[in-house]
Amino acid sequence: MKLHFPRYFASRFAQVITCVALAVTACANLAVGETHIVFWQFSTRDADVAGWKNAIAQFEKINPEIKVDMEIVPWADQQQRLVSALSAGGLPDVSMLGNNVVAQFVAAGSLTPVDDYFANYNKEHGGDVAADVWPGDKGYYYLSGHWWASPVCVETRALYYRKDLFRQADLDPDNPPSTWEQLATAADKITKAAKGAAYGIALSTSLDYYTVQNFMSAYLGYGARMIGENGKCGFNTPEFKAALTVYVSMYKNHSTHPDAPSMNGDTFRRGFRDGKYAMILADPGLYGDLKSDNAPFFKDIGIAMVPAGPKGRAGFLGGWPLVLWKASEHKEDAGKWIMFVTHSDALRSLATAANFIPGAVSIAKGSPWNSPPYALFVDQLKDAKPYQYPSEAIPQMGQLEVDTIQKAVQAVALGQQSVDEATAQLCATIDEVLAR
Amino acid sequence: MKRLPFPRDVGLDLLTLGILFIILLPILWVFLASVRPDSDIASGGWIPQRFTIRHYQEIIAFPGFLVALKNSLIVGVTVAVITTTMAVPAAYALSRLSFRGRNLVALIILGTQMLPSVAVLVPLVVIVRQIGLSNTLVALIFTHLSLGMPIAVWMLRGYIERVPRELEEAALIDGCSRIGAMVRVVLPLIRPAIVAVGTFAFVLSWGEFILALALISKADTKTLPLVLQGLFDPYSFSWGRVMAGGTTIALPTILLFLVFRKQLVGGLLAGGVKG
Amino acid sequence: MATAIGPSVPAQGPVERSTLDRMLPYGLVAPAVFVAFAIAVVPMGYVLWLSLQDWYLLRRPAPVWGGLINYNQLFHDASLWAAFGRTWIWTIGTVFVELFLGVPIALLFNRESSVSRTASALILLPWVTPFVVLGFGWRFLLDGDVGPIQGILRMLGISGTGSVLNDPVRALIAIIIISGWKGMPFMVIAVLAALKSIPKDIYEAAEVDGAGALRRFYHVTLPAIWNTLLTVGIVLGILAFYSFDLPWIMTRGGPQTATTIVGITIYKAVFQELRPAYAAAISVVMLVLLFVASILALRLRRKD
Repeated sequence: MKLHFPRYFASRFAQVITCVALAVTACANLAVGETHIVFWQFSTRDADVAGWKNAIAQFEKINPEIKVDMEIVPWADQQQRLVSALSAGGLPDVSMLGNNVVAQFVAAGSLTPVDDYFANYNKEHGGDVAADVWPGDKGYYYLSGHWWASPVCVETRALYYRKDLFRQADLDPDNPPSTWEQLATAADKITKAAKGAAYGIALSTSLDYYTVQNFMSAYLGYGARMIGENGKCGFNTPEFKAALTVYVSMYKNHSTHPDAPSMNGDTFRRGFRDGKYAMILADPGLYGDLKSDNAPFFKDIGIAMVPAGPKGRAGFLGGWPLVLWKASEHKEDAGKWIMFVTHSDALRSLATAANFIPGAVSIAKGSPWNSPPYALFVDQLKDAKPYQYPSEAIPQMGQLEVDTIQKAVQAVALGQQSVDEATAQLCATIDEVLAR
Repeated sequence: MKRLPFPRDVGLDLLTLGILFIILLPILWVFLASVRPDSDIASGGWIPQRFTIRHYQEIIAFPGFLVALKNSLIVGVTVAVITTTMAVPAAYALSRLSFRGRNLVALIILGTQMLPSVAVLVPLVVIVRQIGLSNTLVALIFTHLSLGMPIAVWMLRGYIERVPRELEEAALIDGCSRIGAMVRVVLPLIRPAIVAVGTFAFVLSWGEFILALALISKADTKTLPLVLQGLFDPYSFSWGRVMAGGTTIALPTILLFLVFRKQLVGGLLAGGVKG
Repeated sequence: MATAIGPSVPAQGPVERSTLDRMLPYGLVAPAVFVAFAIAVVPMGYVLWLSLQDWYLLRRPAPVWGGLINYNQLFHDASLWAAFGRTWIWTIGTVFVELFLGVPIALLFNRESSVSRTASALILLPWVTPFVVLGFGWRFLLDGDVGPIQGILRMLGISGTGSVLNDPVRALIAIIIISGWKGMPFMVIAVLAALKSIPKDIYEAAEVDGAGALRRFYHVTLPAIWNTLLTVGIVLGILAFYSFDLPWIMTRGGPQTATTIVGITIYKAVFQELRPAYAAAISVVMLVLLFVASILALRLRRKD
């Protein structure tokens, strides 16, 4: 193999120059005293990314010695990336985090409490940021007497329904179902009246997350609780079984797609946008999607609160905060970034640009969230609760929400288990995970 | 070389097309979905009535997509070339030469195939970080070598074994060195196998996701499977755009293979080995 | 199998092996062995070490020595062995489908026309299209309402009103077929490469002897490609064994656990249950079992 001397030396030369250049830049950085904060952001949507970039620009203007390096880690990948980084190193300074896995990472000892940053912020700006957190979120983020996360976004599900299909079934379009029993009845009537053109409700009984996000409103509404007073599975109660029965009845009555035990949530959402279902429990974003779809039935869309059970109404509580990782070497600066972007104008601009409901109650009460369709969701947020309500968040929630409850729902829907059997098995599984 | 009678030729061509159509039905659906508006995909029936190229426009404009395409190509081609370059000599040695430790070497190489990526993920990440090669294509290329190399060695060994030894013996008697015999006699005869094996290495690297996810986080070194994941938003995503993404990932491999397909025809043609 | 050499050539005694000759094999295998060591043997050492630790991320930030604790748990884990059993059905089923589809297609495509050459390239499509995207396609085809394949299955009485994915047994069969469909292109290309190296005059000789198409296949083609089939079958089997994407995307391991195979179990153990040490132990056990199975399968090789 002949060495081409000119090429050989040229490449060596380039290498040396690069090294020198890098060294000079590094020195330059040190000289200016710039800190770099690595920030993992989970959304890939253009509007979201633009909103974040804006917020970062604002922050860097006020804090010229701090640079926020945003890395986009899609939601689909974040669990894997975080767990790998936990085991092999490479955690960021700041990141978003699923609201119900905060407890998990706290238990793993990898997060830093943010109480001090809350206190500093209160001192500087007055007010009490902790009091501005949505009540349901407190259950996810305030653990063992400390705050571990600062909320960015909250989300809940409401009942979208088709007034035209209601009319077709002789149901009052201005009086949508307000309890789970009414929901089941309405779904049944609509399916029969539509004669194959549409299903009454887009109800999932599959192993997808979507199932438990909807079903939780049922079991909480009926007064069931995941963790009992004794710290063990609390589902083995008549309340839970009643909720399970009424939920699955909608599948058994053929009010939803026959593939519901194996369909993904996004297929249901797509189906509703295509006009296949009369009702669906969905997030505020669906409204914007329906509008941009220019669906012929858009003017017939109504939104109502999620149905209540005998013990009250409980909405799904989604959303995410920013967390500060213990491995960070720039905690002070990272803390500043977190507090900046999760409060006041920065959060307002971000939430408006990215189209989500802000995690601060005072901001969410303002525009544009005080007009339809947001107003109803914001109103329902006071009833939004975590899965394990009324217990404190458990570290194993991340494992449990994946498919434990869904398996029970699916088994009953497919007729593989009775409600009693499914509930017993569910509790056995939950207890086994809790005991590890 | 006897040609089949014309009608039989045409008949077999038609059968080929028919079988191809049936086998590729799901792919056809994916491709059609990529050129239809979102609301038609699930509910518009099988025969498309409306078409749109918007999804492809969105894909090309998707941040990082073209960069990822370039990265995947670089990694894939490099992996294919290096894999075959390493595998051919190894397969030759394992097949033709006897040496101490031959079985052990074969076991080690072949055993590499039996490890799931998930299992070796953490140690690989730790090692790569220690060397300081996080977020580099070099690290990805190196780890991807393990994907196709065992298969390559294993398969090439099989193809080489079927080449009659007399051919090399003849070359050796003529004064050729072992390596010379390998390069001049055996290689041309197993060319289709080398192309096949290179293709495997390329495809395995092209679609590899888990290792890429663990080793690469910076946008400018991402590969296509990673970018594809970015198209899925938890709340709402465009099915058409996802399909367009998938098609864009599948096509370059097909195109590359079409370019090399002539190489697949080769080996011992009429005449073959005479006693 | 040396041919007779005439007296004019010097007698072939044991060839004197120079140092270069002796080192040659090692030189030839060195790069491949190096890669194998770096990527597999060394990390495998780590995996082995990890399997002997006690590390549940929720209870300990760092691993501590656990001895055989994971292996103990493993042997008593009924769901793991159920998944293991399913994985064997899955693996053998997948390879069977790949052979069943791949060999006839390779035979059909083994012609000189431009149609068959293009077809041999296009047949790669199932293998190179990302499964996350193919999942949509297959789900549509199997959709309980509008899916064409579902319609055919219903006509044949194989499926009820919902998609086959609702039923545990049918779901497993369905995704085994899909898995085989996806891996079949690999088989086609490999068999084509093997077919291309069969000299045509052997076929011609057989035809002259009056052998029909089936007998030509049996006596000429099959022996020639047998080792290829075995090798590729084993390779595809190993690839299929650790499948994760396909069952996860199509059914998430369901209904219930009907399609939960070992790949899913390991993934869940690491990323959801946060038990990397346990996952490592599972990997070690699976590796050993897979190794034994491969060695046994290799016994079926044909020596010519």
